[in-house]
Amino acid sequence: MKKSRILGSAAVLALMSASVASAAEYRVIVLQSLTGPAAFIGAAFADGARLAEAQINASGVLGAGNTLSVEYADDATDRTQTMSLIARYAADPSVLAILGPTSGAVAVAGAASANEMQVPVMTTSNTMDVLHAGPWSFILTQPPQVTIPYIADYAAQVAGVENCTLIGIRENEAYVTLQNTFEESLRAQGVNIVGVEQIGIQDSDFAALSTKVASQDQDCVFVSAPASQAANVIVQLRQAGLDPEVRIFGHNSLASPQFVERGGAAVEGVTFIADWVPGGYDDNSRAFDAAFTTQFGRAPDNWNAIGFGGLTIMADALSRAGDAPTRESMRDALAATSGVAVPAGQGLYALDAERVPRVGMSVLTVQGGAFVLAPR
Amino acid sequence: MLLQQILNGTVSGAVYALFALGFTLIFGVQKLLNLAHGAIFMAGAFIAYYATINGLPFWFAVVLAVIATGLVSIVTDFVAFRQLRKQGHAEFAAIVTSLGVDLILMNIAQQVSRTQVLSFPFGTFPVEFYRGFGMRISLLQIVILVLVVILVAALYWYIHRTSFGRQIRAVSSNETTSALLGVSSQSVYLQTFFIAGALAGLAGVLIGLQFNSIHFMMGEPFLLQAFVVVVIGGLGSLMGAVLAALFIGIVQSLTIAYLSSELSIAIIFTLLFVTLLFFPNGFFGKADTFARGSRR
Repeated sequence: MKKSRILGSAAVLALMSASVASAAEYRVIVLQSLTGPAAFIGAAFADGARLAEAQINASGVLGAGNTLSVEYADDATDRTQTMSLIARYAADPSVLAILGPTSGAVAVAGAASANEMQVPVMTTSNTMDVLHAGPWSFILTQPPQVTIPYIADYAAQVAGVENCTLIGIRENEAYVTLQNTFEESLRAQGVNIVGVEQIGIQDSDFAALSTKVASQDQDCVFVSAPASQAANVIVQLRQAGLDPEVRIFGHNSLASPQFVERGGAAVEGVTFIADWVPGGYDDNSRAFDAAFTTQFGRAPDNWNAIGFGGLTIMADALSRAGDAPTRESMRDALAATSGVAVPAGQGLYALDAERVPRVGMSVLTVQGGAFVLAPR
Repeated sequence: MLLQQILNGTVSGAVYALFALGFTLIFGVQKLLNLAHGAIFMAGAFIAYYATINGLPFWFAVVLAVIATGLVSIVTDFVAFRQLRKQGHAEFAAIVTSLGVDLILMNIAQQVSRTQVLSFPFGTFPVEFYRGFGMRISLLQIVILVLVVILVAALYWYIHRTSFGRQIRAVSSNETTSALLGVSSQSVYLQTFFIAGALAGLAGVLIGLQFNSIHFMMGEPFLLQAFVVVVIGGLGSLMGAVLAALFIGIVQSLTIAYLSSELSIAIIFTLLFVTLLFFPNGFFGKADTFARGSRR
């Protein structure tokens, strides 16, 4: 009896210790521009990721007892800081992957470092140079070559525009690429480009630019800027007397509640593409919208949704990276990403054979202060 | 379009002037570049915004912002400059300490706004446009122009026609001598920092209102513009700052209209470069300084 009790206790202790031993903490770094010029992306991204972190750990998707441990770091939109942080995290064997850095040149520099140090990074930036840096670097968002045709084709083929003026911010490589891709796509479809105007990311006085554009002969204006700034440009274009018949287009940055809040009646009829459809377009994205609104007291925007999706994709890769994930298995799992439900996009997230993200886009327009699918 | 662009440039220049006046006032009195001036400008817009959305009347929000930024400016002097003045090496070190205050204020604003771009609610100020001579001008633009004219005149009167102004000019000319004559330099510093901060705060509110955009980094481009304005106008010269601000505003508008929006910054800094080559003290640097005023 005594012997069997001892054996029983030993068995329970063994089970308990096995359970403790199997409970793992998977460490991922969210390295985003929490300060600096790209903070409007990075800070919003981090908010989305925080919500995802809470949901992932509550759901037990990583296995019973396993947790996702996320550290939020600031790349400060600065290459030197980014490279030094990547070196620091690469030297820490507990770090399995980095979600970031945020923007263009910083992301490219970060990707180069990550490949050298063999730590997986998935940048918010969609520049293809990140992929060219090597197999350890991935891009989270779809590159302009994938997304912009949705809106360029709509402008040229559905709206039938013939003369277009382009206005875009000059400091952010991603925005410049989006604008250039739109321009090339329109030109390829025979649309005349009336002019290309550049603005600063911190500019707010567009009176002179608006007066100039309003006096030109065009039937289309394309605005490549963050939501608030784009709304501001459009408000000032209307105030400068832009012909109400001129169609205004934009890319996925406009898919933010801020666009309508800042633009009001001036942004009625503006048409753009969206990763994120405000309010959500299916059960998964509507659930994200509700959870985010509850947690942060405001409706999510494009970058909130992308941040949420980014960490969800990381968790999915972790769940497929084996019982004891390593950086190598994380890299391979990320490369094999397929069918992950994310709130941004138009269905399921996947990387193609070239590691290019594919998740689709919607063409939306502002109607009655709300975003609705643009008429075909 | 030419007249409209000159009008656009004049309005932009008027706000630059409001911003640059405080910047050059501090330089004129203390020979310090206050790099926190952009953040104080931003703070004005933030204070008025949060006051407005919390139900205070807009006029009261503006007064609150002006007074609060005046006080923030005084605190800036207290934490960033006062100790350096005592130690006698304020000029260079002040650039670093004021930059520190600038970053702290921006960081606070970023946390408060959660990096969001804010804007005054629709209807905060009537959106009305008037037409004439082929131009459109908004009620807000008219108010800005009138307000700037009144404030510049009032500041000029204050500096040159009141005993407080005489004290300011005396300290700017020679602090030690003015102390021997019974002028309290601390009182002068308090006044100049309050006035400079209040002007920056008002400029922040006007910019936030006119361009529908309040952001934690909104002061930085204005600080850069103000630097160009005060250098071209002559460091420490009030009249120079006003004329240079209007000049820069108009040149910027015409560059965007007739050359390219890409070139506007390059042209502004080329003007700065050329001015420094031929007029190292700016156009009014020697002719209209506080020091000269005091000798008069």
